[in-house]
Amino acid sequence: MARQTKRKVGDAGPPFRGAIERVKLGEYARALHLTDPIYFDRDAAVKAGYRDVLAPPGYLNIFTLQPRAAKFDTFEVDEPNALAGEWGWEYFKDVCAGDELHGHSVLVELYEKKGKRDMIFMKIETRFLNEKEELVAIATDVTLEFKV
Amino acid sequence: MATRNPPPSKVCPVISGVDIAWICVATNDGHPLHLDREFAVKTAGFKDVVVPGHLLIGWSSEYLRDWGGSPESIKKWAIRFVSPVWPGDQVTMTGEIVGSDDKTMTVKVTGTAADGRVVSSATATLAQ
Repeated sequence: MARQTKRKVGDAGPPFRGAIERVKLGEYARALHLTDPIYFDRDAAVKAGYRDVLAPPGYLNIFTLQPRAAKFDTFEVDEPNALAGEWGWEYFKDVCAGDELHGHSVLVELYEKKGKRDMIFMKIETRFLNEKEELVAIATDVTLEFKV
Repeated sequence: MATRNPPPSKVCPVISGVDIAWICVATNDGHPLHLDREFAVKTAGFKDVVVPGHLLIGWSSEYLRDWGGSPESIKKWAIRFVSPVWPGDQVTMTGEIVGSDDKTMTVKVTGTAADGRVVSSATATLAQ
């Protein structure tokens, strides 16, 4: 019998809230071998006109400020049979260390595609807002799940 | 301003186990597929641990940033992971212009491994 879930478009993950931390941005810069100090050196970032170390484009995603399990529990992702299809971002404001962001993730599209192996597509939108309730970024990810 | 030609192709660092560890820590991603070779090979059936897509995200966006001239020049973008990346791979980012109007240009950035495998494909809207 095929795996059954109750997930549907409009399902929302738990609200999350968290600080953008200089030390995490440093780890991210280290992993990527980034050389521009605006990503890891506060003085260089301030000199370049930022409030603090700048979060690189792509840093914000569904896992940044919430436990990874929140995604898999909320949207009932069959993790062993799932893989990342696409990630996307739209930016409205800079994000720097010290910013306090909050938001939540919503399942915005859910559909199946027939093929050699039938697949389920889940498009999840995560909105990040700052302390002034301004939208700073929308991150989108498409998770593919092999149907079992 | 005229449409800017893509920067020269950028060769990214050879991916080490240490890079994988740092990107997993930095992005709160503790999936064993990225960190535990025994799990990746015996349980998941891959030939090695799978490199987290975040490295490709980071390197693609840096290439876009160089192209646009600043982090703020990237207005909107998305990346698809085309085939798995393995430890020891070295990815090269290459850009092409897809279209443009008065205010923006649409570009594509492709990540290719040293053996010719296309591993990522990104499209972006850059301010001009």
